[in-house]
Amino acid sequence: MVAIETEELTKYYGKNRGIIDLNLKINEGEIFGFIGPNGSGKTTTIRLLLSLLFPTRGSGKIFNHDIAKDGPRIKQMVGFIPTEVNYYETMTVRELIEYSARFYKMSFDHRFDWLVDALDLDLSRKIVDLSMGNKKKVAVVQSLIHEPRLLILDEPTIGLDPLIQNHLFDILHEQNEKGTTLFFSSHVLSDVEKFCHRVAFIKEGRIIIEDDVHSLKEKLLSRITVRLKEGSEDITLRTPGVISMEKKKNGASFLYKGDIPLLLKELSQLPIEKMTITEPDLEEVFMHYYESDLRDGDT
Amino acid sequence: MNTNLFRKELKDNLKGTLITSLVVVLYTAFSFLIYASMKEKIPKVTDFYDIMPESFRVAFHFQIDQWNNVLGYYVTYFVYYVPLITGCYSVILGSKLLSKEEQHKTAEFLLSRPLSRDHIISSKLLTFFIHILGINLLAFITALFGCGLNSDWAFHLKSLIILHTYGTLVCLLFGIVGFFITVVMKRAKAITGIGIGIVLGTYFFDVMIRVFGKLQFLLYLTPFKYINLEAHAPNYDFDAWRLICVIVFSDLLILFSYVFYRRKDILV
Repeated sequence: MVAIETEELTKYYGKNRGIIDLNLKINEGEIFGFIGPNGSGKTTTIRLLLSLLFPTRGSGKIFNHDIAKDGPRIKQMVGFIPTEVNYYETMTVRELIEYSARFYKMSFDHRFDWLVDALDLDLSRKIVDLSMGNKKKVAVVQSLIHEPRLLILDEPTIGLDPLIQNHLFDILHEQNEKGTTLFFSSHVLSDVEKFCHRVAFIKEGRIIIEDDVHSLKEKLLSRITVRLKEGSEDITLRTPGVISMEKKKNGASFLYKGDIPLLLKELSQLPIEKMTITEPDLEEVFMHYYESDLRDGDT
Repeated sequence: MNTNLFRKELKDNLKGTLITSLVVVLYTAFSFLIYASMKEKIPKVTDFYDIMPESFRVAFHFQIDQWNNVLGYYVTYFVYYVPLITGCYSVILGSKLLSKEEQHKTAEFLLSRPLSRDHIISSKLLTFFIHILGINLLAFITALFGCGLNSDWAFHLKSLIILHTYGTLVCLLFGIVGFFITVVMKRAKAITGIGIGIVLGTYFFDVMIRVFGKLQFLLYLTPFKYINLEAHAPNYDFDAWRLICVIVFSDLLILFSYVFYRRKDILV
């Protein structure tokens, strides 16, 4: 079953662009990464999915329910962790979670002790006294209390220390193994790289590429590092597809998109002492697509 | 209506309602204490009344010639505390109920729960009605005892009920106006200043027109026109046109609130 599907989903704030013609299809059980810099339209997309905003045009469905018409039914199946957690400050953590649980006709009981323990959460503290990281932990607990089929996470690791981040990823993996679909919006590429099955890059409101993480890294780009023999001249390559060339003393490092044998043919003419071909990290892939000058020059 | 949200709202706004109720009860009790101490001397006060400028009498609803009737006296005070004090609280409460969710950015939490926007409006409005009706009921009970004890219970109960019904409806209207304004605002915020401005502004507008005696038709633009203050009159009763105007206008604002909020972008 398709968990999230959008068609030409577009949102303008007056004349200002939110997102434009967003087409997404996320299957149930997937962990989908949604990557983009600040202001690219990630949060707008999430707010449209949660019907906090209404589309200017286009449509969206969650588990086959229209996001603009079936909000309450959708939210019964969705958990949400926001970027910036804003809860009722006079409530204690327990009161807030109980309040949230009652909307789902659930009770906050011992079943969640493991979650509270894993996140080291103090239920008796008031929301106003919590740090950003602790508020995020509350958001994690309240988002899981009704065992959602879809979990939408907007920059979930912001404010969490590395240890708690690892706990969070363990919890999320566990949820995914139970069948929960995860929509993971982030600008922390390493999180998406190690965690997601598929990823979409969003830039200025438009999706510029969508693929599975491994394909993106394997098919599209390679990081090539070459060391030449002492006293060799600078490297100048004519093979199309060489990107981001960084020349060093007696060598160079660059990204390459294209036919590897063709490149090797040119490199074989050079006095190479050592050469490595590795997968680039996701950040390099992202930057390649994000910096349009590079992209335009490449195509 | 969502009972979970309704219960929370009912509790959250209790403090303001209790303080306003206390002010109203003390003010009413105080006004009847004054009456108890001076009712024997009212004939002497009429000398003072005679030299009082007509415009002053009109502006402040002084009808000392009616003060031998406890209801005639009570109306002078009633006009200050029911439509004005409770009206100010009503407009503040009405505007706060939705706007606080956007101002404190808790709207994102609330709107990501499984409840419809209609349920949010209904829960907030029900809270509003209960709080405002509660204050007005306390005001009525205090007035009931005030009138009763000052007249050996020889006063026209129906007139008191009618007077307070008018006051309650106008008080609710102020709050509904405040609620509606925050629904149609792009980024809702508490309109405490604007709200009090609406109540006091319409009141002084009402006073000015009555004092200067011109452009009387403009009085229909102020909610105060829809309260019949002639409670001491023997044939005092509900005027259908007053009730219909206030109820229809309030209902329209509530209806438009539902319609606008259903498609409102929440910009938190």
